[in-house]
Amino acid sequence: MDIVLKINSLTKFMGGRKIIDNISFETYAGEVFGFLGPNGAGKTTTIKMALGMLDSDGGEMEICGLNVRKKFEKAMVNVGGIVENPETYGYLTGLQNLRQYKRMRAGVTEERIQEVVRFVGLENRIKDKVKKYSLGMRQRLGVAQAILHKPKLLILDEPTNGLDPAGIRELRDMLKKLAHEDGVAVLVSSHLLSEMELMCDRVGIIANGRILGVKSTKDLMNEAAGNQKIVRFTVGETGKALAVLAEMSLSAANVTSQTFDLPVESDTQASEVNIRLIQAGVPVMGITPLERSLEDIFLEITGEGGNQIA
Amino acid sequence: MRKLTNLIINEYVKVFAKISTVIMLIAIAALAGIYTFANYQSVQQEKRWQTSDTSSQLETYDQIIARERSVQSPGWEIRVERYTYERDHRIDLYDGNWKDLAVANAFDHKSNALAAETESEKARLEQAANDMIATVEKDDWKNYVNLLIRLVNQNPILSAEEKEAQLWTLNYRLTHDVKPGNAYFGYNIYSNDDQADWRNNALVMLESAKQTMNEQYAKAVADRETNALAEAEYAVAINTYRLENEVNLFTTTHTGNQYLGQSGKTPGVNFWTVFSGSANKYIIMFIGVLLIIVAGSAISSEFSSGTVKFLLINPVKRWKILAAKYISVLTMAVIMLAVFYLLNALLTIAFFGVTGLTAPHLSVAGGNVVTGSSFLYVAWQYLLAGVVVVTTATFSFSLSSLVRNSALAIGLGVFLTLSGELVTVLLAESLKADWIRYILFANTDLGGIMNHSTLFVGQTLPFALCVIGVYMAVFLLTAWDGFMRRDVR
Ligand SMILES: Nc1ncnc2c1ncn2[C@@H]1O[C@H](COP(=O)(O)OP(=O)(O)OP(=O)(O)O)[C@@H](O)[C@H]1O
Ligand SMILES: [Mg+2]
Repeated sequence: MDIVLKINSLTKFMGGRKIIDNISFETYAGEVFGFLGPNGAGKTTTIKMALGMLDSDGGEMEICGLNVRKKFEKAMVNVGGIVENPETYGYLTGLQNLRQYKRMRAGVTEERIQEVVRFVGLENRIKDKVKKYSLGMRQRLGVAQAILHKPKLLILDEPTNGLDPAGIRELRDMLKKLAHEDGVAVLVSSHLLSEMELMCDRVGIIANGRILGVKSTKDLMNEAAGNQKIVRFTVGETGKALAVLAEMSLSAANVTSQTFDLPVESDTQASEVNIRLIQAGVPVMGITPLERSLEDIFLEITGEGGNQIA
Repeated sequence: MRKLTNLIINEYVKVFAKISTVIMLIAIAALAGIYTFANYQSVQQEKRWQTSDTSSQLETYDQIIARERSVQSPGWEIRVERYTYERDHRIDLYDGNWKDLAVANAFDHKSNALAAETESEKARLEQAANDMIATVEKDDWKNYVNLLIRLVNQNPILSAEEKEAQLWTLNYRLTHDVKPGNAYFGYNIYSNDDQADWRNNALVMLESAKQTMNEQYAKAVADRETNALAEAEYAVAINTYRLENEVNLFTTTHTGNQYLGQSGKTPGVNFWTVFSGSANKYIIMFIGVLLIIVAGSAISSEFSSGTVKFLLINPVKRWKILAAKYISVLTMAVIMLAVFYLLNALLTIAFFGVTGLTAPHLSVAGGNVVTGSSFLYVAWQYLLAGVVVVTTATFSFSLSSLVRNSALAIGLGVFLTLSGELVTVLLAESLKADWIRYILFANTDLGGIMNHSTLFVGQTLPFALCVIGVYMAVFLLTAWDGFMRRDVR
C-alpha cells in the first residue's frame, strides 16, 4: 500500500512545554485512519504541523512523498480537510465559500461544486449566508469543501462534531467509500470512539503528545475480548458486600448503593464471588457481564489522560 | 499569475460581500454629494446677501455716520461728509463699483488737500476731487479713468516703473471696456456673462502684485525674503497672460497666492473651485478610512475567525496570499479614487453647470506661462492625496499581520490618519527640531507641498516621496515577516 501521509518524529514546544513528543505514524491510501486521543492530547497540533500551519521544533512530514516544508504547493495539491472547525466566511453564502476554494484549486468545475453540494445534502441552503447555518450544516459545508478537488489525503479533525445521527452515518459511509473504493487516505481525529470503531481501519492513540500505539481496529477489539471481563453486581447493600470482597482481596469499581463493577478473570470467579456474598447474607439480585468497548480500552491505555487534562 | 489573480478576486469578493463596506461606500458617495451641495448652498446664500435691499443699506449708512460722529477719530468730518454723500446719492454700499471707489478716492483727495503744504498743491488736489465727483454725477467712468491717467502722469512721487504699471492697467480698462471696481466685491463672481468683471479682478490683482514687487524688490535684497516676491512675480505672469489671452476661468497650483484671486484658484465659485476642492485631503481621508478598514482586517480577521486555515490548506504559498491581499488594497485605492473623481466631476457639473469646463491649468516655468489640462491637474491632486491614503492603509496592513484583533489595527490606523499631521505640526512648532521633517506625517500633505505650502523650508515633492517610500518599505517588510512566520493557533 502507498504511504500518503508520513509523520516522522515530530516534536513541538509551546509555552515551555513539550506538547508534541516525537510522534511518528503513517497513513495509507485506501484506509481510514483514526487519530484518537482525549482533549488536549495534541491531535489538532499534529495535524496543523503536518499541513505547515504551525512550525515544528523537529521532525519531518511528507505528503505523497513530498516534503511539506520544501515542496509546500506540490504537497498541498493532494490535501483536503478541516482543521479544528469547518472554517468558512459567515458573510458569504455556502456557494460563494466553495467558489473561494475553487479559485485556489486547479481543476474544480462548477459541475463538481453542484455534485459535491448534492452529495452533502446542502442543495436547498447553498445560496444562504453561512452565518445562518447550523453547526451541522457548516460541518457539511466543510466536508464539501474538503473533498471538492478529490484530494488523495483527506484530513478531518473531529468531523462528526455537530452532526445529527443520520449525518454521522452518512459521513461514515462516505468516508469508507472514499477510502475503500476511491483509494483516498482518510485521517479522522476524534475522541468519540464508538463511531471510530465503526469507521476506522486503523487507529493511532495519542495522549499527552505521545503516540501510545497504532493498531488495526480488529486487533484492538480482539485484545479487548482476550483480557479481563467486568461484571456488574446488583446487591441489597453494597457496604457489606465490599467487606466480603476485601476478604477475598478483590476491589470493586463504580460503587453505588445498589451496584458495583468487578473485574474478573473468568466466569467461575464471578460465581465464586456470588456464593460468598450469599453465604455472608448479602442478597444478590443480578449479575450482568459488561461489554468492553474500544472506549474502555482507550481509557485504559491513555490512563490518567482519559479524565484529566494534561 | 492566474493563481494570484484568483486570490485577488477572492479578496474582492470577501470585501464587497461585507455590509460594512457597502455602508462605507454609500457614506463616501453621500459625502461627495454633501460637499457639492454645501458649496452650492453657500453660493445661494451669498447671492441672497448680495441682493439685500437698499433701505437696510441706508440704515447702515446712518449707523456708520452716527458712529463716526460719536467717536470723532481724526479726519471724521471728511468721512461723515463722504458717507452722507454716498447715502444721498444711493451709492451701493456692497457692490464696490467704480462710483464707490471714485467717491472714496475723491474724499481721500479732499482730506489730503486739507493737509497740503502749499496752496497750489491744495488747489490741485481739490480740483482732482471735484473732477472725480463730477464724473460720478455724470455717470461717466471713462472720464474717471482718463482723470486717473492724468493724475498718474502728474504724480511726482511715483517712479517711472510704477507709472508704467498703473498706466498699463488704466489703458487696458479703456481699450477693453473694463470699469474700475473693487477686486473682491466689484467682481461679480457668480455671473459668468459679465466678462468685464473677471478682467477687473485680474487687473486689480495684477496691479497689487506689481506694487508688491516694487516694494519687495528693495526689501528682498536686504532680507532675502523672496517668498512674497516670488508669489507676486508668479501672479504678474499669470494675470498678464489671462488678460492678454482672454482666460477667465483657470486653475493653478499656487493655491496660497494672494494675487491669484479667491483661494488662488479661479476667482469666485465655479466648477473648478468646487471640483479641485474635492481633492481635499480631508474628503479623500474617508476613502482612506475605508481602505484602513479593509487593510486592517485583511490578515487579522482571517486569524481571529480561523479562516486562515481555510486559506493555508490550499496549495498557495503564504507570500502569495499576502501579496494578493496587499494588491487588492492597492487596486481598491486606485479604483475608489478614480470613481470618486468621476462622481465629483458629475456632481459638480450637476450643481454648477458646464461653464468653464475647458478652463486651462496655468503655471509658470522659466518666466513663461505654460498651459495644461485642468482635469489632469485635479487628477494629479487626487493621486497625491491618494498616496497618504495608501500609506496609512499599508500601516494598518502591517499591524493586521501582527495582531489578531482587527479593531486594534483599524483603530490605530484611523487614529494615525486623523492625528498624524496635527501632532507633527505641534511637534514642529514646539520643538523646532529639524529631524521632524523625517516624520511620516511631515511629508504626507503632498497636495500642499506641490502647491508650495510646506511645514519646513525646502520640503520638496521628491524628498517627501522618498520619506514615504522608506516608511512604506518598513511597513511592508513588517507585514511580510509577521505573516510568513505566524503560527496558526
Ligand atoms: N496556542 C497555544 N499555546 C500554548 N499551548 C497550546 C496552544 N494551543 C494548544 N496548546 C496546548 O497543546 C496541547 C494539545 O492541544 P491540541 O489542540 O492539539 O489538542 P487536541 O488533541 O486537538 O484536543 P481536542 O480534542 O480538545 O481538540 C494542549 O495541551 C494545549 O493546551
Ligand atoms: Mg483538537
